[in-house]
Amino acid sequence: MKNEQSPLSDSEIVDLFWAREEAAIRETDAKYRRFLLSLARNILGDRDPQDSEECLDETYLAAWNTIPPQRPNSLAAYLGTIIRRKALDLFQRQNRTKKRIRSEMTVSLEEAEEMIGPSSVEEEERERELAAAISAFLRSRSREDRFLFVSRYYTADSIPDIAQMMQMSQRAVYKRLERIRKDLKEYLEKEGFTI
Amino acid sequence: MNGKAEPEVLSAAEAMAGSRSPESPESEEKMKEGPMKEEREILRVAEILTQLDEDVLESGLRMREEYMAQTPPKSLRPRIWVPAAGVAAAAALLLAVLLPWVLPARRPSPENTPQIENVEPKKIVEGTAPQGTGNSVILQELYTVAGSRVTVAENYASQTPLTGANIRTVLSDFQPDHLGANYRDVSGNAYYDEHGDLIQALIYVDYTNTVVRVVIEPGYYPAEALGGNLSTARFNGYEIGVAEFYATVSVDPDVSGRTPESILAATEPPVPYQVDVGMYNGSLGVLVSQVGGITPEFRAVYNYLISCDLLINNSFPGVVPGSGG
Repeated sequence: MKNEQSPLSDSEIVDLFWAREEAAIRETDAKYRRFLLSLARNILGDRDPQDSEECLDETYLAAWNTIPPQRPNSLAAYLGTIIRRKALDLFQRQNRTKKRIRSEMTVSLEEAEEMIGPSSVEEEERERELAAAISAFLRSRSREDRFLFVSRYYTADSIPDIAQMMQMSQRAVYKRLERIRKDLKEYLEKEGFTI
Repeated sequence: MNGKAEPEVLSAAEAMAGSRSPESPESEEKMKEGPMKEEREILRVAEILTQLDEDVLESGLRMREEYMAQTPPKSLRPRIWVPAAGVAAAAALLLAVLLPWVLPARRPSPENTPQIENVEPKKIVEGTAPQGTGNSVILQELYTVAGSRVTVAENYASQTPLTGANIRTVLSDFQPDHLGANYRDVSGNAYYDEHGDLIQALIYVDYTNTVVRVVIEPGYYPAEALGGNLSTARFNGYEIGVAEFYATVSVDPDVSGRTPESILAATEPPVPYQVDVGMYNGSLGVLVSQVGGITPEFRAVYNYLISCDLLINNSFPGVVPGSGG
């Protein structure tokens, strides 16, 4: 029978993980499956749905193995980061052996590259600073702008999908993203990053 | 999550770069500048974005979750329906995106958008395009050029229980263009609610025994429209009064593995072309137009449309290329 109950809160689910209850995976799946699969699909493309499923399974396993000791405040962000890494890893492995498949991620990140700049100065430390600066920039923006940025460049949603979610035209979405990128670029330059 | 990066992606990228075994210095140089480099850049940007702080991600993802809760999953969106008999080996069929088009602007928002069920249009209202926009000019000219011959997809119309459905046909007998396009006709249905707001527009493109149906709706799509069967369409969760709407894009990948979605994604603004579907004096119009001259991207799209055996051409007498923006 269909479970009509509201999903558990993140902290309740995390408690289940800490208690080593298998229900933790069930509840996580009920609450985040759609989100996580969409994230994986956006990176890998939807040609082979099993790839995304594989990442999803690995993500649940990783969550099981890392909580505890971790106690994430936001399961969406925590799981999202795990599946993103899994999917990127798979994306890369596949591309070593096959012709590269353009996914929504490659398109969105090509856009993002213009504001982040080339990798001439590529140390991990700089990248961490850059990520922190981008986070600070996003904190200064409206919630909607944060959504737009995260949706396009983190979860790699397509512009048509974002437009549909926001009930805006694709052109309007694109324009706003363009504005955010431009502002971010200026912000990063002001913060001393060479773009 | 503590925001600290696991170096696995970068390490893998480095390993990948290190694993190259070029046959010659020349090929090594090519690889440095080619896809491998591009991929490393992409992975690098991906890695940076993976390190965004948790609170920022949380904020963006939460809002996404809220939006997603209001959006039907992709699998519930309608697909272009192609009669099996008309589908030859070339499975790739086109479809279209509708760029903002201009009915009297009343922007949807969660607050002012009524959710309706079992909509049954009662009244037909002529659509009126604002004058002076690029789209309206082009549509007007198309309308003039296309002449008055009307072709109605009666079989489709008869399947729908929507009473008061107005079948309007706009374009037919397009002239074969210089690139060999030769589709027979385009016809369309437009459905309005009792307030005169567009509920749904259907475009039928008949090209050499293959009918492609493009369903255009403002806002959400009725799940029941899947598979080309509109007979049980109920328009659940459907929004009306929308000034901008989109055609559904859905086809099988073509032989090169590209889909219209990927092509569109790759050619997003500055938009080298548009596929416009709109109302002009109560009639539907469809065209592909280019903006800012012929670019390689536009050419790619153009060629793609041709490869799909489906082309809505913009080369009409009197229509100035580039005026469709």
